[in-house]
Parts: sequence; C-alpha cells; structure tokens
Amino acid sequence: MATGAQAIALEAHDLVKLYGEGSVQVQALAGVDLQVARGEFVAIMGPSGSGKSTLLHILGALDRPTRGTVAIHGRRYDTLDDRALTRLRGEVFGFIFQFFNLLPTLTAAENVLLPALVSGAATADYAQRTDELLALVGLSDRAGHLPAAMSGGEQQRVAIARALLRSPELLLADEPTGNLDSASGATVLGLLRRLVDDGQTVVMVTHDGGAAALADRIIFLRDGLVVSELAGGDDGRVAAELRSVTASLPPGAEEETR
Amino acid sequence: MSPRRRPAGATVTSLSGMGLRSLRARPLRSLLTAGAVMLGVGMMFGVLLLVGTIHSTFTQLYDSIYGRTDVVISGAQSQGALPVSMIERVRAVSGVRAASGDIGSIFRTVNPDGTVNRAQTAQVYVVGVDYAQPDMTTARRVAGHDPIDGRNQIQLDRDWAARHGLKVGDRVRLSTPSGLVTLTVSGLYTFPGGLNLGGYGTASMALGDARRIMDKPATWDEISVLAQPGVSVTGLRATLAARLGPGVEVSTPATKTSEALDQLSALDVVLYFFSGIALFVGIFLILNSFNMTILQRMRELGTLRALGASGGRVAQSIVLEAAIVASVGSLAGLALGAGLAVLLVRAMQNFGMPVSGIDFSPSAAVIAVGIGLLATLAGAARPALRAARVPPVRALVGEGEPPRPPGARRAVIGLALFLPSMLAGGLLWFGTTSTSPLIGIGAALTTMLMFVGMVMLAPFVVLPLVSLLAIPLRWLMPAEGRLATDAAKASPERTAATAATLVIALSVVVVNATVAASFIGSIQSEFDRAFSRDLTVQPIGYQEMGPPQPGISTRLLAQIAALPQTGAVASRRNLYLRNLPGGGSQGVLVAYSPYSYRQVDKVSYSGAPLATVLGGMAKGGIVPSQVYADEHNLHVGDRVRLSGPSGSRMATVVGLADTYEAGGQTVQMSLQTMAAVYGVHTDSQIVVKASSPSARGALERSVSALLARDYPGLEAQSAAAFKRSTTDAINQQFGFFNAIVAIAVVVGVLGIINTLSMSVIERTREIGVLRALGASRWRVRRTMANESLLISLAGTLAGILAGVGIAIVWVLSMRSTTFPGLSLNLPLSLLGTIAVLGVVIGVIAAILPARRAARLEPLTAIRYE
Repeated sequence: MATGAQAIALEAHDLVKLYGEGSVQVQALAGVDLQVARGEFVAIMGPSGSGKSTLLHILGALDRPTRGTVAIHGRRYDTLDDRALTRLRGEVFGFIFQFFNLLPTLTAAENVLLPALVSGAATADYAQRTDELLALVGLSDRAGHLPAAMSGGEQQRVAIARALLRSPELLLADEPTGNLDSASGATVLGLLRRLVDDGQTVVMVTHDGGAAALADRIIFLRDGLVVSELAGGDDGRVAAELRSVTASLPPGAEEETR
Repeated sequence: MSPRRRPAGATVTSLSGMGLRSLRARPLRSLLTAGAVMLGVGMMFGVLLLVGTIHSTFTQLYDSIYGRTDVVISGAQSQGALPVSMIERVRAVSGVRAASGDIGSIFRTVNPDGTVNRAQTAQVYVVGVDYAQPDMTTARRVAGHDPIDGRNQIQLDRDWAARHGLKVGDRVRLSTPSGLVTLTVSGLYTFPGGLNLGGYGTASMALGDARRIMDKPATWDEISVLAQPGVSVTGLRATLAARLGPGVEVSTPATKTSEALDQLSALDVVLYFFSGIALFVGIFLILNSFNMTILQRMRELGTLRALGASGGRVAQSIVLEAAIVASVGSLAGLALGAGLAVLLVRAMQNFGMPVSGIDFSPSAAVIAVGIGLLATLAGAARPALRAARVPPVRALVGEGEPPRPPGARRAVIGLALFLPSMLAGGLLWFGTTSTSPLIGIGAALTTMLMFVGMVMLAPFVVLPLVSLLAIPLRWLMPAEGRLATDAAKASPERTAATAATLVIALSVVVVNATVAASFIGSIQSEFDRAFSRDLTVQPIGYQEMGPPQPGISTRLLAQIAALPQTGAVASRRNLYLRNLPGGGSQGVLVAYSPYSYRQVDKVSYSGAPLATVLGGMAKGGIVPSQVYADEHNLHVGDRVRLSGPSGSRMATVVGLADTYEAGGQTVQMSLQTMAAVYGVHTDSQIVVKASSPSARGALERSVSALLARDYPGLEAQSAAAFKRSTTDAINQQFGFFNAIVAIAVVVGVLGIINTLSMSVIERTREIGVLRALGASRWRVRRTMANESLLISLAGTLAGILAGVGIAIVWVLSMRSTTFPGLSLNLPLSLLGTIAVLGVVIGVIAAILPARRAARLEPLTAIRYE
C-alpha cells in the first residue's frame, strides 16, 4: 500500500470553483476528481467553458479551489496561503504557457534562469543547470538570443527549459502547441514525451487531439465535471470522443482558440 | 525596436539587472520619468544652494567685519543711531580694553558723463572709522596706507578696486549722501576669508571726512568693543547692557550673525516650498509612468508570480526600477541645479541682495538627492503594491482590469483634504504677520495637503472639462476630435493624473499673481486716495524694508522748498524694525513733520479729530496704522514705550492712520520723536507738491536738475512713476517665485508626452486601421495633437479655476485678518496668457508622440499584438 501511495503524484478530490456572486455566479468546476501517477503524462480536453483551464490553474497552484482538496505527493495545497503557494510554484511546479511568456528583455539563458532569480535563489548555483537544460532542448547555440530573434517553437523550448530549472515534481502545460505551426508543435510534444519517458510527471491542457494522443491518458471535461477518460495513443478515438463531448453543447459554443 | 542578437551589458543575474533591462526596453518613458526627477531635484538643489550661499555670504560678512570684536553695541534691533557721547560711557566701563565707533553709508560710482552708475556692482559700503583705535576687523592691508583725516582719502577692498580699475593714488568720483565727492585711494585691503558680496564693494575712510560726507555729524551706527584679557565677555556684555539702558543692543558677533540668519529663515521656507512643487508634481508623473508600465506588463508580472516570485519580490523589482530612475535623474538634477543656482543667485543680486559666488555644499546635494529618491519611491509605491497584487493567473489570461471611473469616496476624501487645508493654508500664509519659520513650515505642509486634495478631486473637474472642450474640437475636426476624446476618456484616471500636474503648477502661479495683483490694486487705490504729492525724491534703488540705505542730506529739503514751483514739501524718515513698538511684529516706523506733511499727502486718521491727531503727534504722540492697532489691540489713549539708542520714553496713541503702506505694518510719529528716541537725523524720502497742477512739469524738471547737479545718487519720481516702481517691486518678487514654480509646468509637459506615448502604444491597432482605411499621416498626427490639447487645456483651465478659487478665499481671509482694506484683483491678462500657454503646451507635448504615431506603417500596426 505504501508503494501504491507513492506512485500517486497528484491527487485532486471533489474540486469545486465558483466565480462571482449571486445571480452572476458561475460554477467553473463542479466536483472534479483526478489522480495522476508519478511519471504519467495526462492530457485534459474539453470544449470552451468546460473548466479545463480553471482546473490547470488550481493544479498548478496559480489559484485556489472554492472547495475540495488537492495534494502533490501527499502534501495538500488547496488551503495554503499566498506565501506557501509562492514557494510551491517556484520549487514544486513548472509551468508552460500557450504564449511562451518569455520576458522580452531577457536572453534565452536569462529566461531559463528566471525562476531562480525571482524566487531569490542564488543564481550562480543554476548557471551550469541552465546550460544543460538549453542543451536538452537543443538550443545551446541560442543562449544569448532575445525572444524576438527566435521562432515560436524555439521560444516554447526555452520556456520548457525554464519550467525544468528547479526540477519540478509536476510539469503543467497550457495549450503548449496552441500557438505553433505543426512542425514546431511536434518538436515540443516530442520533447515533453521524452521528459515523461525519463520519469517527469506532466499534465497538459490541449484542444489538439493529435497532441492529446501522445499522452498516457486523456481526461474529458464538460460543464466542470470529468465526463470520460481514454488511454492515449490513438488520434482517431481521441478526436471522436472530443466530438461527442462537444456535440451535445448548444450551438455557438466553440472550442477556445486563445 | 528591432530585435538585437545580444543585448548589451552583462548577463542578468539580479533583480536590478532585470530592472535595468526593462527600463531600457521603454527608453522614452524611462527618460521622461528620469527627466521629471531631474527637474525636481534640480530646482530643489538650486534653491538649497541659493539659500546656502545667502547664509554663507552673511556669515562671511559678519566674520570679516567683526573679526576679533568681543561685543557689538548698536541701536535696538540693529537700527537707529547711537549718540556720539556714548563711546566715552562705554570706555569708562571696567573690562573694556578698547572701543571703536563707526558710521556707514552706501556710495555709488559715477559714469564719465556725471550720471550715477545704477548697477548693483557700482555700490560700495563705506564705513567711517577712527584709525587711532585698534582695527577689530580681519582686514589686511595689501597696498598704500590708512586714509588720513581731512584729505578726502578712501581705502578700498582690493577686488572691487581691481574691477573698477583703481590703484593706490587714483582719484575716484563717488555719489554720496552729500552729493558728488572726489576721493583719493590711499590704500587697498583684503579680507582673508575671501569675502565676496556679489559685486558690492567695501571701503573705509577717516571719521572726520566720513561724518561730513555721510551727513552723520554726531552719531555712531555701531560701537565695537574689545575686552580686557581675562574678562568674561558674557559678564562685560551684561554690565554694558545695564549701563547703557534700554533701546541699546549689546550683543556679540555670533548673536548678530544668527539674528541676521533668523531674519532670512521665513524667506528660506517660502523658497523651499516653491522649489518643492516641481518634485511634488513629479511624483504624479512617476506614479502614472509606473502604473502604465504595470498595465502593459500584466502578463509578464503574472508569469513571474507563476514562476515562483512572491508578491513582495515583484514589488521589489518595481521599486528597484524606480530607484535606478531616481539615481540617474537625481545625478542629472545635481548638474541642472548647479546651473539653476547661478541664475537664482543672479536674480537675487538683482533684488539688491549682496550674495557671493555659489557655495557648493555637499550637504545640499545629499539633501536634494535624498528628497528626490523619496519622491520617486513615493510615486512608485502604489504601482509597486499594485504589481504585487497581480495574480499569477494573469500569466495565462493577460490583460488588466478595465479602468474604473473615479468613485464618490475619492471625491469625499478629496474635499475633506482640500477645503480645510485651503482655509488653514490661507491663514498660515497670510493671516499672521509673524515671521516665524515654524508658521511658514506649517503653511507649506498644509498647502501640500491641499495639493493632495486637489489631485484627488482632479478627475471630477478635468473629465467634465475634457467633455466640454471636446465640443468645439469635434466641430472643428469631427474625426480627429472624436477619436482624441475617446482616447482621453478611455483611461480617466490617467488623463486626470496627467492634467493634475498642470493643475497644481498653474494654480500656484495664478494664486501668486492674484495675490500680487490684489496687493498692487490696494496700494494704488491708496495712492489715488491719500497721496496728493507730485514728486517723491529718494535714493536710487530705495527699498523700505531692504538693506541699509544711504540717507538724504537734510539740506535738500530747504533747497527744494526754495524752488518757485514748489507748493509744499515734507520729508519722511523710515526705520525698519523687527519689533514695532506697542506690538512686536515687524514693520516700518514712519516719521514726518505732521503739519507740513499734511500739506503734501492727505492720510486720513481716525479715533480723534484731525487737529488733535496732528497736535498730538507734534507733542510726541504716535499714530499706529489701523491694521497694526487692530492686530495688537491698541486704542487711542493707550501708552506705549518707545526705546531707542538715543532715549526711552512713554508715548500716547493719539490717533490711527488709515494706510496700508508696508502692508499696513507702520507706526507714525513726528521727526522730533524719532530723532530723540532712535537718533535718526537724515531723511529717507522727500515728498513735494507743486504750487499748481500746471507747474508739475516745471517742478519735476527743476528738482531733477537740482538732483543731477548736487545729489546724483537721488532720483525724483512723478506720482505715476512712483506708483509704477512700487508695483514693479511687488511684481518682481512674485515673479521670482513664479519663475521657480515654472519648472513644475515643464514637468507637466513631460507628463503629457509620457501619457500620449502610452496612448500611441495602446492605440497602435486603431491607428493602423485608420491608416489602412486611407487616413493620412497628417490626420493621425492631428488626432494625437487633439488628445494632447484636450489634456493640456483641461489641466490649464482647471488650474486657473483652482487658482482663482484659492486666491479668492485667501484674499478674503487676508481681508478679515491682516489686511482689511485688501480688494480682490484678478490678473486677467495673465490668466489669458496662461490659457494660451495651455494651447502651446498641448502642441509641444504632442510633437514627439504624434510623429511616432504617424510613422506607424499600416501593416505593422495591424499586426501589433
């Protein structure tokens, strides 16, 4: 049982998230249960408004649930204060964004080093790690470049290196290929898959069936609830499932394209 | 900005390194922000240097002239003259080793054509001394010998002599109280302390010659005392004070110096206050600047939070950026301030203040930079807190919250700050005649609170004004006017804060000008009512409350009386006192012969019939002004002690004078009373009335001819010219303050440029669409210019409104306290000029941002994300 408990990296139970008050109150999450095993690659899919972004924010300690629990390796963080959440964000989670979110004034290497810089860690300790990570994402020759001089794919690879700087227990990705052409997207996904194969736990939100299929498991959300689950590997089945989850929605509700 | 392969500078490994990069990414905004700090710190440093220079000039002057003097004896409050016999009484006191008396006056050099040189640098302070007594000054002779009595010799300060090309043995023509005199330079000396009076010279001459030339036959201005070795100066001082009685001041060089500096402290506070305004409004530019930066960087700041930065760490990065801006701006400000100090010192010299070359003190630099840093941090504090509160989710969501219109709470707090502090400010600035620096500091702080209230209220005035101004603008240029109005209203808080800078700066200018105009109006109406004189004769550059003046020879009165065109003539003797009798506030003692003065000016008296008042004055009574009497609760029949170097006696208040001369701070008496108590025997002014109105021209011509021949150091002014020179003096003083405030207007211009540049960035897409739809570059430029005009004009008009409102309240409060006869006068032509200035500011501020906007290519603009 002890080994079984260790195998679970992330565990969320009955997550509820309400926005606003009174008549304008919106229920973004209506009671989500989720378990992610250590070293597992989970993709979350769902139509616009299904709550997948909200779920990712809560899992990544960017936001707190209204109700319910969430724990990483057995340590709950749903009720922590801002100071404690800040530490988790710096040390336990790594975040990858759809728009890369590199600081335009910093070079690739400086962006990779940023988490150490902003959390007040001694940056010198991370100099070598920065070089290693840039090599890992294949951008050693671009270390001194500013984001504006790099392609989208390159920028996202820098962002991945940045997310890995402090060896996070969980890597979270929000539509990591949403703003990339298919070739660059494939490179980024390949990189994520390689990380998982080396033991990294990854949770990714995406609307791209092909991307989701690379995950070990795909969770489908609708109206703030987990409605179905699928093992990864098969593009066709993922696309069909997403269609069926989306189909019953009223007309006009489209897939987010942000 | 085109992406560079590698940014300049070292790898970023610290928050401040990151801040530096971030500042470099927005060069214009960083420059403008640093520019605001530079202007604020510059003006502050300039004024600190000016004040320090004035103080060090006085300290040096006193150190040099008193040298090893132990005790200084003068009339009370350093005014009036001591009787010549007093020196023997001083010498008789045991413990006195030597006593040396002196008399002083100001001479001027004469041009080759025989006219008097009116330049400040043509003036020389001359003392008449007894060379047989020990010299207690620090002067060291470098050439020639001491002047010999009876030979019309003078000994000059070496630097002044060199500037006028004078050597030992040369003859120099000087204008003196007894007319033009030619003196021989017997020697040159120098003060080892390097005394520099900004162009004024110093000189000494033998007592006998001096008594004759200065027309001071039987008085001393001061007696310097050297104590016997081993005698306590404190004890000697007490003995002398007891022996010489009231009305005589027995002090030490140190107390003389500190008294002089204390007198300056009220002016210091006013100067500091006006110089602080630029930095104060700079805070709002800094606030706006960092707020804009944060709005622009929401996603970036959210990302930092998502990567593990604490809120405090994010705030710290903003504060570091502010600190970098403040350091750069402050250092540049020091350079600017050094330059401004030169101009300020020159302006002070033009007021007749003897100020030397600038005394660059490191403490002034430290204070200016410290205040600059504090102001920058004050401006960046709110944006930093705002940055700290950016939630990590902003990394994904981007965009900030939409701007909210200002709420009612803000209006309430604004009014609660503004109204009471405006009322209190008026009372503190003008409601008391006390010259205590503490009251000045209170007034300055209260006014700063009033400004904070004004800033909070600004949106409620500025935004309606923007709507109002939009009407004509949209009529003139429908498309551009509409776009500009929408842009200005899209960020109401930013528009209001930008305009607030101008509101504050211009309201101060308007208040200054209105108060000055009101003073002038009241003085002029008094001239018209009570001054029926046709001519006023006084020394060139005469100031009632200024530095010591050369007197007028008593012979002149008779000479003018003998002219055929003269109907009536009277002399006036004015003595400025820190503590007027019967009250204690500063003002001017005015003496005249009651009956003959009545023939010239028709001052109205109250409290007793005219004959009783005039008769009472002739018998030794005094007549305080109505204002002074009200303030100090003096009534007709009260007995008041008069104490001066020549005597002490009780005097009865025999009437009250309805006059606002010297701000209403006067006590009048007969010439005999002033001579008996204060030892004043020379005239300050001679007022003349023509025998008939048709003789006025001829009178002025013959008096001027008489003066040119015998007393070229004096001038005769017609009633109109006298009125003009009096109003010029008031205008000059307020103009000097306004010149200091003007730099805050420049900060306002920088603020508008800053806001417009942000507007260009925000509206890049909109501008691109306009251009794609066929709008010309010129139309884009005009749109930006319109937005600029809306902000600058709204700020200008609000500034005029606020200034006029505050001035009305302050003038009214002055009327109910210190200046009952004050009438409100609005300086309409200046208000018009300021409104035009608002247009100019708007156009100038738009130049750069409009060019930027017009240069946007339609395609890049549309693609801009």
